[in-house]
Amino acid sequence: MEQAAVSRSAPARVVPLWVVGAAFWLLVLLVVVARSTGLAENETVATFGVIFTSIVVEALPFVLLGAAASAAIAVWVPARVFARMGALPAPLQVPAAAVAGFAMPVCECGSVPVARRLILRGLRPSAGIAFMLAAPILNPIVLASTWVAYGAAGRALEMTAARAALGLAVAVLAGWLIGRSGESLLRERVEDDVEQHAAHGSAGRFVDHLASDFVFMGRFVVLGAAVAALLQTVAPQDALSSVADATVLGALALMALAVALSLCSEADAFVAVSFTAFPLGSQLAFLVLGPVVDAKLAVLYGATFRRRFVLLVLAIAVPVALVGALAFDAVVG
Amino acid sequence: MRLDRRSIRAIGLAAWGALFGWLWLSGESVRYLGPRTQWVVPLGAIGLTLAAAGYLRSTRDAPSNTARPLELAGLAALVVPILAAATLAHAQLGSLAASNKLSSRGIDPSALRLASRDASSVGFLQLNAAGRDSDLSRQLGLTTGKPVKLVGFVSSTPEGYRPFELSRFYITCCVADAVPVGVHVAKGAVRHLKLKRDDWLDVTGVLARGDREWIVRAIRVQHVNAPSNPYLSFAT
Repeated sequence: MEQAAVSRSAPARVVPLWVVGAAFWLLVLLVVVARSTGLAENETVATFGVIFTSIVVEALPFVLLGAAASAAIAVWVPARVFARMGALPAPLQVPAAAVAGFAMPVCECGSVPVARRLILRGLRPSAGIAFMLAAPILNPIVLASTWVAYGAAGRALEMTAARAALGLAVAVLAGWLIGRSGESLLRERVEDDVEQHAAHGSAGRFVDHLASDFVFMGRFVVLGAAVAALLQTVAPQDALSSVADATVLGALALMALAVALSLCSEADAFVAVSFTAFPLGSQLAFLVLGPVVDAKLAVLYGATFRRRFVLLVLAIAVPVALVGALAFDAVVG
Repeated sequence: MRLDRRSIRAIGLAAWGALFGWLWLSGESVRYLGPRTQWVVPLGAIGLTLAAAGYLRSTRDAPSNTARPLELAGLAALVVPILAAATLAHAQLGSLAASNKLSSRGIDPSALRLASRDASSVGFLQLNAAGRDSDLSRQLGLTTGKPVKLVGFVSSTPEGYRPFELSRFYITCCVADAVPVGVHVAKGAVRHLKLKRDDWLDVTGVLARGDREWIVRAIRVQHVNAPSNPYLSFAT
């Protein structure tokens, strides 16, 4: 880690404790002043603040679960396991990694640190990406919630199977196309080098990795939630319903909505089923694209992977989801 | 004494553990999450508190690495939602969000897993869904003159004596997926009452038939405080 080496040689800026204390009381004063000036009564501020906080409160426990899984992989899974997996041919490794998402019952925020750790431990980047994109769709909780949500509409089997199949296709294709160059996709992190020496014992290293991943991922979830909340506060969504009858535009509109809403994949089916003005195929596109890329994830991807990763995922996922949606409407709808 | 990387991470974990603990113990979590995802609050409170304590314990003898400005900025970002929650305590979505959310033209509440068909009481969801469904109206026993009682907020600016819209948000997962469901209320006997957007009202009235909707003809309207849980759920 070249960057880490630089960090050790250069003197780091040190913050005295009194500055932290002063910052804390400044923040308290800020809250008191904001409340006394009636900021909370401003409907734009209240709407943005409530949606923003809501997305973060929902996402961070999943980030914690993902960080715990990532830390467990780093500490307790022997290197030889990854050496064996890494030696598998790509045509086998990529779909196998995507299907392995079935065993990862966390939503999209939790799968990013796990995928990052898998790549760091020696899995092919293409396989790591396929796992990361597939896990939030293929995991049993998400499939069960899709089944239940569409059960009342009598479309449980079709929608659940189509979501799983299309999600798997997007994950494998994106993993294969983005990771085929073989070059490293991950951004370097200063913490990666230093943290390994900070604690002793496997339990200590586990907590160290967990804390590092949580704090790193958490701040980007916060930024992504701010973007999603801003979109929901300033952009009227009813404009989308004017294209509900148009097959292609309807699917694109619901995909745009999925990006803006940044919903958790474990509950998004209950929202999708309510878009009855849109064809089932458009609802399917919403369910496939949302867990793969949304406003919150885009920021998280940007912090974890190299430049253009988000654009590449969008460039692959949107056409595949669109074609899948149209095919679904032609066959089932 | 100096602030090192370990302190930064511990502060981040502990601050969020404290926020989740407060949300859990105070019951304020209902302002952000639906019943399906309430379980993440105790998970966050216990998990993050344990992680903070475990992290400090496991690294107490480790060499100290001083924090860089970027990590301090990261901590600041992590603290922002906590400040927002403290500043906006008791805030909730209102008429602005109702006007922005995908509503009547994109969403049909009757297609949701609503409890309409076996609901013991008539609420926003049932009235909204039954307005376009005569079978559902019969199943729910909705007839002209049937007494109803609704508590909600004014989501459309009432003009003169014209009916105003009373709404509640229904949430599934979190506030981000909130769907506004509204019912028109004819002022009827209380036509001189002054109303403005986001006023919370307790409306007692009787049902009347409108154009593809059920309207409530108000008999008594009272201003009330917003309930402690301002959101309803499709599951209840």
